[in-house]
Amino acid sequence: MEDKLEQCLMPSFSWVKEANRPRRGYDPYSVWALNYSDGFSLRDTQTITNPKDFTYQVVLRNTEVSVKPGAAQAPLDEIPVIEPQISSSTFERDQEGVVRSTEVALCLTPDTEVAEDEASASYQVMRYPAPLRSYSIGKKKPATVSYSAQGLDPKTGVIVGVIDNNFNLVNARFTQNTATGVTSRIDFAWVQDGVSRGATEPVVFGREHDKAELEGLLNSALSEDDRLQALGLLDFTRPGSWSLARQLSHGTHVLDTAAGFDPETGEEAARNCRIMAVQLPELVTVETSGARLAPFVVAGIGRMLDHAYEMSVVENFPIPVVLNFSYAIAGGPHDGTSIIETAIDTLVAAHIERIEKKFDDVPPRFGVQVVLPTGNRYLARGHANAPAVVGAMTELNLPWRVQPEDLTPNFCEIWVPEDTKDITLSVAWPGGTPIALPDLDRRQAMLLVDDATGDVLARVSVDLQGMTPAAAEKKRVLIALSPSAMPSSTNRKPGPNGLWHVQIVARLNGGEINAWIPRDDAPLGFSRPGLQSYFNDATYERYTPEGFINQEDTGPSVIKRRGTLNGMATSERITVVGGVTYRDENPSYYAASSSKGMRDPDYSAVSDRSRVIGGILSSGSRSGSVLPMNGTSVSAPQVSRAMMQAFQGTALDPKTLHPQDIPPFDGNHDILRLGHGDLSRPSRDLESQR
Amino acid sequence: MSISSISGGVGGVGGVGGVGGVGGVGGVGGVGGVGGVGGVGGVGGVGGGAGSVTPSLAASLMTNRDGLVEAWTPLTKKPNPMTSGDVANMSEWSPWVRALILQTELLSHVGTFAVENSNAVGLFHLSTTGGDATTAPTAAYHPVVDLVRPTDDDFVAQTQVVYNYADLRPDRAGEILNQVGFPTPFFSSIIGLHPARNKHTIQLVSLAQLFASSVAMQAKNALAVLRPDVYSGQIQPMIPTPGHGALPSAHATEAYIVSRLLLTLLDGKIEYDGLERLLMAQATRIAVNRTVAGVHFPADTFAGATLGATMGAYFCARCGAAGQTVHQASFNGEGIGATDFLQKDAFDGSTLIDFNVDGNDIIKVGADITGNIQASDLLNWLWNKARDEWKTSWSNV
Repeated sequence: MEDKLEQCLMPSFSWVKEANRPRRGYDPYSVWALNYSDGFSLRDTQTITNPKDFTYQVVLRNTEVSVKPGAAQAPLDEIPVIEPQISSSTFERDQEGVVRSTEVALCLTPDTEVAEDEASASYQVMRYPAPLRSYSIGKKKPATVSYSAQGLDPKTGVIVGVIDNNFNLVNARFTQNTATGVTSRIDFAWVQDGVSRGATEPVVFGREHDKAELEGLLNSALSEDDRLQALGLLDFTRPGSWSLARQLSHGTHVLDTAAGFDPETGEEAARNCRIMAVQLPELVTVETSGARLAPFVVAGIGRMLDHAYEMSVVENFPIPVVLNFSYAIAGGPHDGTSIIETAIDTLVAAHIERIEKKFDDVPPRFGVQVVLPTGNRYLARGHANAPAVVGAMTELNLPWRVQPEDLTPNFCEIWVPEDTKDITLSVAWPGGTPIALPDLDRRQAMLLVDDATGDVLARVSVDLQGMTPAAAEKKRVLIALSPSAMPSSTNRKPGPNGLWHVQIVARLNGGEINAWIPRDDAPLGFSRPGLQSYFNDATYERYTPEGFINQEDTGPSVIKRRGTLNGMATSERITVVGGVTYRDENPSYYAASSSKGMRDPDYSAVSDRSRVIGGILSSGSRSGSVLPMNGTSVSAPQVSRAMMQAFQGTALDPKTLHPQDIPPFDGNHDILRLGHGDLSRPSRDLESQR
Repeated sequence: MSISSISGGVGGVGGVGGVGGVGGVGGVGGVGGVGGVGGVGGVGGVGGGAGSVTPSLAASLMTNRDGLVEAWTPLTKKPNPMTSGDVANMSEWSPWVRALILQTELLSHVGTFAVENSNAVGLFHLSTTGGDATTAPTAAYHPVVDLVRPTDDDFVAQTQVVYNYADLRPDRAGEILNQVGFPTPFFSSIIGLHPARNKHTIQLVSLAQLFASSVAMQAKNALAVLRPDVYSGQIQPMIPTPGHGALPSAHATEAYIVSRLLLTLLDGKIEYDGLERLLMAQATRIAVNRTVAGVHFPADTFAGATLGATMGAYFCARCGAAGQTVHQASFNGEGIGATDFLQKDAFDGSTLIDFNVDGNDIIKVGADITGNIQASDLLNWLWNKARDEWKTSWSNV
């Protein structure tokens, strides 16, 4: 009798080897989304208005080839081009004989092969599902668009490019009132999931707006709501979140902080601060793990730099560029080699190189800066870490709590050095006993299946982010869990909720084992059903003995606040910005931290006015509105603005916007969270926001 | 002695209003000017105590009279009688009495006609010539506005748009809850209305809102349109669905009648930058908030805009506003499909315009009917009082 009862109560799952290594060259998040998400995929949970919605894929390829000095670019020619291309940049470094390239391409037919040629080049190819609807797909050969000179000033002309969501492109803060009418300071804005105009659309997917179109609306009698409808930025007849209709939108607030000016100012500084915007697809932003981000961000930056190049040629001087990207991811190798960081690096280097080729005399004021925030996951209990025990086995035990009623998958990334050997991963589902998975390696993933129904409840895989073992320095174990609740439209069995136990034991020669749980809740302004999972360890000290929120890694817990740095902000090329509370100059509670082995942030700026008055004030969605918003998302654009001003010669030197030039902190401060330079000095603006 | 307390006509009126819920909470309270939002009769206002007499006061008045009255003295002096039928007498009556008089004056000249199963309803103005206490006037009905309801397929398409708007509910919840009744504070905040300074303007606004409400209810009754939450269980409105049909939207009708009224009232009296834009945008926001709340289709707002703009012009003409023209208008929702309401599709500035979807005339502005609409002396009395409130030292015209 008791045995039978136990059989009824205990779930019966088994680990099996995944057959046929599906989708080589796909990001493991993508494999999970494309192969194992039946029942809770985008096609299952979004309103489908056309059979082709969400059937597209997008490829991101980084290539690095060694070329003998002076030799032609033949090796890259041998690598097949992916069609249709969205962006392509090539960076030559003849002296060291390295040629790098980054390409993004859209695949209209799913799973078309991208030929690999690992012998002749070093590749990093990753394929992702593209969450685009059929109305966003344009032509293979998009229309060309040309830029007309505006007479920008070679001493103050600068471009601020912002990648984000929910931009009000006709907000007054991005315009200037002149004697002849309202002018837009936005030159190009690519809405990546907008409705394509087909043959006249200059981008392969989505819709790109330009200054002329915006000025037509700005000088019309239409209300702001109607202007946004005309641009397709609001359209309640189509499914979607339409967060721009809300009071506060992330992108508008960030853009105002970075490059907004009073429309009444006639100043040349405002006119010469040109804006570009890339609005990521809504369903990319909504996937807060960042799993869908990389190709869209890279395509967006590529497009902005291509525009910047054309503008520089037409205006006849190299225009400096500041790119602000106020997003963060939890996972990644955290050593600058994530696919997105490599791509950004290549794009920026390629742009600088082509500017130097085009202009004989590149003035010292020219430069390209990329600014990202440190992220907000300091207290999210989403990071655990074990330093290597050299000469013995290193062990990391992860108690991972998965919420019930969670309609989205949960992920955990475990990163170890590439030369780590004898990895054994043991996984216990809630209430179960640990089962070791010794057959796990790059060529063999493991699946947890339900014995009764065959439904997949989890997948564990090892990957090198698409790199060859020789090139990769870290490898990743990705654990993907099925949601603990399923939509009513499917019979698929949900995964178990509760405390999972994951243990990794391995032989490391150095370095450490790091585990990160990606973000899994709704971003500002969106509805999303996910619930955040976290590491739940009784020895983690959430509060100090006095009752304050504990801001330090005290106690024996493996859960660490340190090392929560944005996984896209770990390369040296990027300017990383932390968040400070203005009133007491301490880091904001949530402001993430680097750790030993990761680069420190560069600067900080205010992300909260005080402990009780959160956020900083900037434009709300609508013209004339002002709202607070917090997070390190609002710190990054303050540094972007400072760099813009530096490029205009009105403030600090942008090339060395550096510790010694930015006022240092007084006394001791937390370098791992706040970096070296303090942009949070008392200012009239911040004082007036009290 | 037991004397039942007399709460006077006020309580009676308020009672009726409470049941009907015309315009929602506090709506009819506005009639008497007692307890109306910001109305003259608000808490502590003039009408606050009017008509309420406690038993102890009645008893005191009786005993007090006993002490003073003495024997009857035949009259040697008497007051001059008031002139019967003189419009100037209106200043002698309580605000709630005037409200009843003016409501009746308005509604008795509006006829609603509909044929069963025709999906259409028309509103007509009744003009009269001549007549006295025993002789009937000559009378004629003139078309003012007609509404045709959308097809069932149209409503199915519209339901998804209502679903898509639901995302805005957290953002708009405060406004929606404060706009369940007449949203007068939202208009007051734009032009700085104050009960002490603008009591007749406020009475005029309340009158227009009640008129709009009555007219909209007549149309709703005839057209009998189901609400979004009957079409789909996924709408789940954030406020209880009111007990009347969806189309036309009474909120839209009331909001656009007020914006028209205020623009005409202030015309030539005082100029504000962007006044037309703000008042129209306010009316639109109130109307669209109802779609956000899940109780209206965008089509209802098109119909309400047609009705509100037209009856707004009509109301001002009846009030004798100088130079006010009235155009006949038609709303025909057949073929509207999934079209969302955008202000620019229904209005050019504050003027109602033609709007067409795929060859279907949704809004059609018709003939100039100004000549058929006679001003009413009684309404004109209140109109002039309201206009005078804007003849202040601030006037820049």
